[in-house]
Amino acid sequence: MTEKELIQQCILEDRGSQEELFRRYAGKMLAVCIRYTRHRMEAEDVLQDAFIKVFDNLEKYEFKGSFEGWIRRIVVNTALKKQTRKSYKNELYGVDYVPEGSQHPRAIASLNADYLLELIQELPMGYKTVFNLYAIEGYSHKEIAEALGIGESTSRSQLAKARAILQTRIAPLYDEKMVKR
Amino acid sequence: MMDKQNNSIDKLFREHLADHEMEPPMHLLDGILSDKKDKRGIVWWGLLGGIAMLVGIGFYFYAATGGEQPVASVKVLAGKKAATAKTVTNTVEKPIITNEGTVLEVIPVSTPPAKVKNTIVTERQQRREQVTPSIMVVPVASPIRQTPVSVAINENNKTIPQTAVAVALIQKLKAPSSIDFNPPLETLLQKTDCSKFGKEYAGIYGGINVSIDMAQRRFISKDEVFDSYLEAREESEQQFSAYSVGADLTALFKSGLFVTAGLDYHQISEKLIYQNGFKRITVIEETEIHNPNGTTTIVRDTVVKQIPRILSDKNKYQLVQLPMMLGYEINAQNFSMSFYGGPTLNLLFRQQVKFFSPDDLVVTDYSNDHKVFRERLGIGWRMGLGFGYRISGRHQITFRPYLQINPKSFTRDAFPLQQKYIITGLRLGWKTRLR
Repeated sequence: MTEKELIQQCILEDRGSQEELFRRYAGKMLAVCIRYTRHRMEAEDVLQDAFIKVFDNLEKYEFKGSFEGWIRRIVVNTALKKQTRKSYKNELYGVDYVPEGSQHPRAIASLNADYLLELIQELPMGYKTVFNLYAIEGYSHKEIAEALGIGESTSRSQLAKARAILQTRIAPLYDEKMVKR
Repeated sequence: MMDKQNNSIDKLFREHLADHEMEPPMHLLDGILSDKKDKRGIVWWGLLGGIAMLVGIGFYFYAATGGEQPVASVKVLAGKKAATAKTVTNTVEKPIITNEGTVLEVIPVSTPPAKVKNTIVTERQQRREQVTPSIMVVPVASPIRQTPVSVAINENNKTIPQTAVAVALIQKLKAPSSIDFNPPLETLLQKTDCSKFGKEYAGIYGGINVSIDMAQRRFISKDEVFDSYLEAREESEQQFSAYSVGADLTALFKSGLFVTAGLDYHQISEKLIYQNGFKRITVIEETEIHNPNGTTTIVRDTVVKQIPRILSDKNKYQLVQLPMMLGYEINAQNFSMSFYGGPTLNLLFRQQVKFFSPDDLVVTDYSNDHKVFRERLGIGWRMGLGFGYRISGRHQITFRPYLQINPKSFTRDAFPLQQKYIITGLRLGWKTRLR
């Protein structure tokens, strides 16, 4: 079944197609959610809400651009909305925070996606969000500032601090040349 | 842009994570699809409630406008010409013939007229004008059914004006009978088997009410690992107050049955009490020392103490409900008593709340956080008793204790704790007959 047919069947509320669509994209989107949240349970909450929105708004998808990109935007927006609603004590934007560094005793070989994901999850919420949006999703500082309701300079400073923390964590494990700015 | 491309940290994470995929959590699918169904369910229930109210009120008006009243009848004897037409009742010796040659047979019935109008009417006109006994047209030959009838008396085979025929008809209806055309209302009611209840009380009522409520909260832990979280929540959040206000419309039928629909606003307030660090207080202790020479010396000592800082916040849950009740009312003089029950549809659910986060027990603001709370609560069930006292012809004061159960948790299924409420209340209200 092509993607278009699958979407059309989902609009008609065909249970099998809904399941297939979820199976195709939920894994990738869960990985996105985990980057924006503190733990898996919270990530699953975001994923659930995001897919409710996806199924509710499938009729509005105009088959222009990537469908996965459309879902990803919904997922990211849902995750950001959750952050603005919740107060994270001691995790406010602009707070200088560098975790006391017990290095992860992992070999370079284990520097895989799951480990990198863990490193991102350990970041304070503000750093994590800006780093995700800028480095992975490709948003500009201006777009990030608008989305999060912060200044562009704050976004830049958050990114720099996030990079610094990540570099501190990775440096002993990874080729210094590669992570050097 | 250059910065982005050149930063190897960014590149490393982007390469590994941009398309990173995990095992899809298929267990979420049921929750996602059932949430869609819930939304659809709310729409259907709303529609159903609206239809039920319309049918109820429509039925009331139909009954109130005498749709069931007995009427005299006019039969149309199809195909019969004037010359062959025969009188078939004692009271009307001559049938009425239309100018199309159709014959009308007039049959008076037992219920006498309260008022007779000076026209020959079709069935539709009769019902509208409340002529009793009215005339029912039995449509065997349809051409005359909705047509104002011009009639002739067959013996002369002559068409005469409609008004004249009407007068003649009425005289014939009156003449042989000894029917009282203006009987007292009570007689009419007896004859139509209409109960005293229906006469005096049936109608459309509007009401407003206010209630002091008790909201019984229940936390249910999804898993044993959340039991300590449950305890922390129970200890830190205490019931504070609950109330509701509402307005409703009631259609009360002659049988004593009634349907009510309205809008209620409920507010449940709780208090969050928690420790937030410590505060230092300075205490000056005075000690009196009695000297041997009779004088007293006061010694002051300054002590700095550290005590827990206890903070509190008010939590608020707000609900707008659409109750659709079916009930039965009995009356005795100025008093009435009723019982009722039915669904209440939640139209709006808002929260202004802070409580411990399940992750780290940090006090967190979850106000209107729909990741934690449901957007709406769906259907609840309410039952209660009603007591009324009539203080004038139209007005009553009412007292209605009730019990409302909300089967759905305030929190979403994914949240570690289910939070359910049973609300009981004492509603004091004012009810006015509108019609």
